[in-house]
Amino acid sequence: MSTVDERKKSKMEIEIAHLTKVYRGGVCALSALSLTIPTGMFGLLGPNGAGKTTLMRILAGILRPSSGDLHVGECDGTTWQGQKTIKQFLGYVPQDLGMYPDLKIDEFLNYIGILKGLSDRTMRQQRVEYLLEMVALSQFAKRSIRALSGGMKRRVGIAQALLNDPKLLIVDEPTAGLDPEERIRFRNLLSDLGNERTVLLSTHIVEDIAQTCPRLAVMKSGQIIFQGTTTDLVNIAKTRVWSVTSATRKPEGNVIIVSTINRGGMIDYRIIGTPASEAGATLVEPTLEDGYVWLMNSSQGDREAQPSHSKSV
Amino acid sequence: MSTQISMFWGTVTYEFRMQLHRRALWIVMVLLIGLIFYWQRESILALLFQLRGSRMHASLSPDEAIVSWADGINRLLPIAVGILLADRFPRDRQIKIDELLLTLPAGQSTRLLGKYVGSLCATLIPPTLYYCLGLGILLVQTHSLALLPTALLAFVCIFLPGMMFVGAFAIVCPMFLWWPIYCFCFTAYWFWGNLLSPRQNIPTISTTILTPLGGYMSQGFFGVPAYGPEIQATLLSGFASLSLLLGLTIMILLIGCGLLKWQRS
Repeated sequence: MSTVDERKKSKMEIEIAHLTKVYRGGVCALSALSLTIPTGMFGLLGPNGAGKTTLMRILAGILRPSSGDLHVGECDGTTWQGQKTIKQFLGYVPQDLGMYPDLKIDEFLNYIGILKGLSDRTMRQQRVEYLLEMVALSQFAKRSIRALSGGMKRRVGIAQALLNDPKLLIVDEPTAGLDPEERIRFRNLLSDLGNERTVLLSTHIVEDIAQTCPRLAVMKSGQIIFQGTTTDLVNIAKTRVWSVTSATRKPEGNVIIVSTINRGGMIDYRIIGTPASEAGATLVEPTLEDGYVWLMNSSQGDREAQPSHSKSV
Repeated sequence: MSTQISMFWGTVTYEFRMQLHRRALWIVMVLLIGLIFYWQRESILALLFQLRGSRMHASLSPDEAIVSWADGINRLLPIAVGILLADRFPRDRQIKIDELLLTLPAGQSTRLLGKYVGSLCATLIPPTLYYCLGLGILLVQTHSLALLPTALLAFVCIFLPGMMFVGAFAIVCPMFLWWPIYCFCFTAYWFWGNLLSPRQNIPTISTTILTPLGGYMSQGFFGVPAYGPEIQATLLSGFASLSLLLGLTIMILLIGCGLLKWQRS
């Protein structure tokens, strides 16, 4: 019984209800947003300007919401006291992570460790060494942060976030600007971390979510327009994704062209929607990106409305 | 509480280290000290090497010489201290680490105070070494350590209060003022409010107890008239000046902490 209770206690579910954030000047970044984020990896997808970073910053205690409710575990994230408590078990990797360029990697991590409340020097040192090992930076521990590549900086970023062994890890656009190998390495690292804690991964890169998160939410204009599993989002585009090969003209009809591959004389189009003629068009299995594109387009007006013109994305 | 103290000392340590490793600190200080030495070489050499019989400091005893040495350091070097500290707070925003720092359990006030203590201590290392150089020269000449208590007292009463005052404003004011503008305004204030003689017929606060030059402490505590505008100071006005400088230092730091809380709310 006690094991069940402990497991329940260690769960870090986030409950957001009618959360609104209006900046000075009347810009509404979040509009009555409601969302439940369970323990494990959770993806937050949306175009630039959708309000993802604002939501992340509110969750991390950087911003305060204008109205609405926010509970992280048992803490009320709309109060100072609640935010203070959340910071004790929070790990945060901002979109644009800055570091003190004059410090070495281990010095920087040690400093952040102190600011996270790890006051025991020996334990802090051990934690820093463990995390450097984990993000494969042990051999660069004495290297100046000024001399690090973008990927290495991201790894230092994740290491600093894990210093206090957080129950909640918020990662904002972690793979932006990384090369494919670094991106894969980073995704694998995040997936490993999601076993024991709530990891909220915010990105506009669909592939990152597809490879790491079983559940996700899609944001647009400060609102949640989809919440569910990745399979649910893929299924939205089921029977709507076609492959069309044409020698000359673009496919006609109410379609969105998601890819164009020129093979010399012939061009392969991948389209979402209803082609004007099904002759020459083959129905194909949708991907998460197809589901996302269909969702974003259909949410422009009525959720069920079809795109009115052939267009590229 | 112990965690907050640990966070404070952590900030002090790392801010000290970062400021001390800053090349600009040493370049600016060495250049300014070199310029001061070049302009005032006669009086400096007279002060340090001709304790008796010199034209300019004929009547100075070693104790008076070390007090005058502290006065001299406080004349122009605080300008460099103020300028070198002015970018410390805006730097966190410039290098984009402020967002991360806001998500940490360490309070902003703890970090502000840690930054003040750490970076001020590091910035004061070159002027302190310069002060010690003068002290060393005087000690060698006097062949006695009897000068040390006066030297320590002069350091604590003349050198430190002014520097602490300047440092507090340099850390807090750039929170709401673009730091290059602050540097310009601060330099202008220094010449107008500290070095300008009232004889110039321009209204100035250079002879008030508000001056961080340390003239009131120099004359009030040690009976040595300081460089700069002439003032008539007593022991009481020396204490008043010292208390005012330290009080204003604490006040501006508290305002800074309050301002950070207000900005967040």
